[in-house]
Amino acid sequence: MGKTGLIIKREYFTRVRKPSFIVMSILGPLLIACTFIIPLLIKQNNFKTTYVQVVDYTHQIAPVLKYYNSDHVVYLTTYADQNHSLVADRFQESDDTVVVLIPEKFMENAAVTVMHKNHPGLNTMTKLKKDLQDLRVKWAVKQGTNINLVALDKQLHDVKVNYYNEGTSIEVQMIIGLIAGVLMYMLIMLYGVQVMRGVMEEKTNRIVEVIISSVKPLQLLYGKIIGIALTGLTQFIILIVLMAAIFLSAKSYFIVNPSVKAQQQLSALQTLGQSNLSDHTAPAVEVVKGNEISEQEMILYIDELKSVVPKMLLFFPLFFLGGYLLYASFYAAIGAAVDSETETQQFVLPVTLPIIIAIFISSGIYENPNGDIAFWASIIPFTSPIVMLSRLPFMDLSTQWWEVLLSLFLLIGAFILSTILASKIYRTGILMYGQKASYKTIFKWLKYKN
Amino acid sequence: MISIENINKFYGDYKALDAVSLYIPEKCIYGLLGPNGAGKTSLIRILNQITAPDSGRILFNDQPLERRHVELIGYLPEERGLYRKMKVGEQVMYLAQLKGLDKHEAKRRLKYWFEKFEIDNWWNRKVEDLSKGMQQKVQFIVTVIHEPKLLILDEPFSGFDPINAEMIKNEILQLRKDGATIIFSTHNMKSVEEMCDKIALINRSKKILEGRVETIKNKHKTNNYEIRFEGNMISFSTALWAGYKLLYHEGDKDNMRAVVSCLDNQSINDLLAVLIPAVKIKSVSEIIPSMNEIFIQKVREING
Repeated sequence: MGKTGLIIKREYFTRVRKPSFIVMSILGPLLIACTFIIPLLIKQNNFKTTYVQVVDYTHQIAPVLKYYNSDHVVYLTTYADQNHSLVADRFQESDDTVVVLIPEKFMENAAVTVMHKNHPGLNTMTKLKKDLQDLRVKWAVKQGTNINLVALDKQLHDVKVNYYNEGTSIEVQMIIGLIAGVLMYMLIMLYGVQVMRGVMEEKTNRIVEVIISSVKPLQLLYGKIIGIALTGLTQFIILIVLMAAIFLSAKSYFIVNPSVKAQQQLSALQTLGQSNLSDHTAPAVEVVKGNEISEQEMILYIDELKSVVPKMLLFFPLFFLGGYLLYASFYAAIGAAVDSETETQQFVLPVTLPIIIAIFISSGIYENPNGDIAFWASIIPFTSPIVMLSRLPFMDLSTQWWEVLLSLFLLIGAFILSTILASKIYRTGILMYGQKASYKTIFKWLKYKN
Repeated sequence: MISIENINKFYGDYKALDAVSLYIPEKCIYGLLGPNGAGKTSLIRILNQITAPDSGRILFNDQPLERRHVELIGYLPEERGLYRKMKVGEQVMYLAQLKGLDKHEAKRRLKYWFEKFEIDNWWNRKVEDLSKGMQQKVQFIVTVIHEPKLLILDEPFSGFDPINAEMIKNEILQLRKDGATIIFSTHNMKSVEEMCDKIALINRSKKILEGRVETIKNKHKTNNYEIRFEGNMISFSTALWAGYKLLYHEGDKDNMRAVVSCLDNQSINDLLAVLIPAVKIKSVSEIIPSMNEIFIQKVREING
């Protein structure tokens, strides 16, 4: 093993074996999981009723939809069968909050259109989608003579919703974006400061002289930075694994046994097969429906997570590494420049400031994820690791991939530059005792030859 | 062994080493002396390749000093330091491996040294739980565990009690016997006289003195003698009427002590020749200046 390898190993294991690391790794995911699960619990206890006006161009669905009414969502059909713009005009003048327009070709997988004044919320939308999907299934079942569930499943697509007005608030993306931003902030700060402390410890301990009489100063610096980066990634992996475990167990807790559910669905379908769709007597369906609402919502909630989580898992480690390396190099330079903890203050603040700005920007990113501030803050290296991660859930990578790549590219360039500068300060700083570090002296060190 | 040729080192505008050249022969204990801030640490750091000189060169066994040589050098810095939170055994293993030892060899030697210094039950203790003397022992082991050909010891005895200092001193002498060359930087002139074969005195970035300890002392002796005698002080001083100078005297008739300086080219034989008829001489010894005196005298001469 190379000497840098030895250094990496020490830096890594002394940290990973610390009790605080283990406690953080277990408490962290629990806390984060709570921030997901609590809104879920709140959703379940949301008693406000939303009235959804249905404009049904198929002339088949609206009458049946009434049987899907629940405490939270009530379907009404007071609107006439007019075209979109007439409906929109009337909607604007009314007190109604949501109108759903079901197109003629709905059964052939055409998207429905939703008009709203305030976003109806995830709760209503998921129920609406689920109800419509359910109807679509039943419709298909009614049409079919030989029911092949597998073929049916392939043939039918999820209900697609187009929003008539713009600016929808998207909760899942918002929550994931916020959490990713805060997590990134915490990890960068936590491990950046560890680099600073590690460097300072070696300097004030004077062990640095023993070590750099064996290895090059930069081997020591890079070994330390990489070792601590691996600590951070380990923490991240533990976090993800534990969170996945918590979610899976939460999912199985909230959702009834799938075989039981399948049984219920089958019996519901059989009942339907024998009766007319508009028939009022479908008690089995109602029973199933009553049990399923919250469960179904949760499945959808988690499914939405699934659409966002993979890209987060891909880019989080990349941006963490980039951001960490950028900041760690600055923190290392500070640790090398000072003689004591108290002296760090004047240097730490300017380095921390961009991180704090970034966390502020990312906490408001859901308001306008593609606005100028969001865009630039996610491109400029000092704020990009945090802001980009908060923006990422809202981004469509098939068109916006270049933004992410540009941001990563600039981040890599920035940390290479900052590491070169920091190395120069580090090399001189670690051997300077009893000299009060100031920006002026540090600037002077940059010009020293080694 | 080590040849330092015309080394210059600048820190910004400050010249830390000014055309310093030294030669350190093999198996020599070489004292590097000088006031604080003279440039000793800069020189030591250059030898350790912690920093590089701005000009000049260093030969290690007739070859230019290179990176690979760090594994042949053991360095004990003046300011001792270990990772406080790390376990003793783990720490020494780590530092030994950084010096190029493989794991098994490091462990084997470590056991040997821990037993020798009677600290084998400290293997799993954290450094911060150790007394200062214990930490010093650990630090010394770290310095020598890879059996370096060149040992650079900066104030090796500071922080040791007399018993441990004696032990370390014997270890150093044994290492020299086993073939190591030792550079020894200290302000403790007594230990310089006891141990060093050669010294160099550095002052204000320049070498102002180099040579064998005996040679330097002989060169700096002032031809003064201490004489103990029985007899009359008046007849003693009368005998010295030409060619000698009485610097100091004390005592009573039966037990007199005087310090006499021989002027011009008078020798001890000439001095005795004039004194023997005058008083009864009990003992005569030449006063040789201590390294301490030479150090102070030389530095004062230059610094004014």
